Amino acid sequence: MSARLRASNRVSQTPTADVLEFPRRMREGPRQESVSRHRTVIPIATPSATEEFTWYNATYTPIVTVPDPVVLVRSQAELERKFNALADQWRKDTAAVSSSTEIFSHEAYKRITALGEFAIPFILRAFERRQEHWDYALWLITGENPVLPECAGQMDEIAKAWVEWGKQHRYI
Amino acid sequence: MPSYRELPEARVWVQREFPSIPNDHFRVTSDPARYNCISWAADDTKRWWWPAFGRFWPGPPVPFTDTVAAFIAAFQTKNYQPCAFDTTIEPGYDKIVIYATVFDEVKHMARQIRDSEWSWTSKLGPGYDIGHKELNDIQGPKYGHAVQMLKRPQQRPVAVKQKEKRRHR
Repeated sequence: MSARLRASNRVSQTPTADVLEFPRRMREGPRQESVSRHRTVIPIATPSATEEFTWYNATYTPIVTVPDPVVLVRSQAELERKFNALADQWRKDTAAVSSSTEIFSHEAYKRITALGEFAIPFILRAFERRQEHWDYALWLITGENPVLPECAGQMDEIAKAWVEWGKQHRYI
Repeated sequence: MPSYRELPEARVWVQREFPSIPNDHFRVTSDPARYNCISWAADDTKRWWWPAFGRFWPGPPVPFTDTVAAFIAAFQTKNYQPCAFDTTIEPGYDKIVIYATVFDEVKHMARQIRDSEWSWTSKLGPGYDIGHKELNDIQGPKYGHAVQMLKRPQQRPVAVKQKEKRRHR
């Protein structure tokens, strides 16, 4: 099979041009252009069967440097839509659940956590509106815990501490 | 303005979450609030009890796991002791029940109240408190089954204790 034909097959199998763009850049490495055009991107996106992108950023270490992160980063509106859909699913499924173990291990909650730092403003805004169980997700993403030990289990104090933390760090 | 519990939606919500509960076997007794069934059983409506990150749980030697043994140990700090299953109201004793799955994962707790009709009270996650007639009204895939009963000599309600304290000053 000619190289040209193989290339055309690859195009037809991938859902978007962005997905095609990413592996090529991975192979070739960053373009040798001026340093100012290079930005370090923490989450990387890979094609998956169900979605256009899957985010991987569990360790928060820079995985890859690409010249144009725009091809990887979803728009804010798209991220917000995804966050709201996952949060609604999580609320619906855990509405009568008392087990924090179950609440924290719900699939939608894990997927919100996997959005990483991008999810923080949405989580904090949700936390500001309702005193829900977002503290564990925020701790997983940031590694910080602004809640005093004596406030353990006090949902109003937990929400207050995190919202204050979000304001200090200019997430909200 | 009526409270949420008086709205028909409250009953619909309970029946949606627990499809097997008979319509005449429960009544909604309070609005949603930020404590869970374990706090409700422990009579502590200020904190969410659970052996998990950021939640209240009695310190060591109580194990930090969601097994039945760990919950028994947690409630022993509140003077409860395991006892044989006896759902009748025993004068002079408070009773609580642990619900768990077959994998020994605790899912829920209910507390007995001195009411001939609504013998048990449960907080449904972060949702409503309900009074229910039977322990098995809320059994099922969500909460598992009632596996352990605990009881303690009856405690005076906190409000009564505070009133007595004020009187002695």
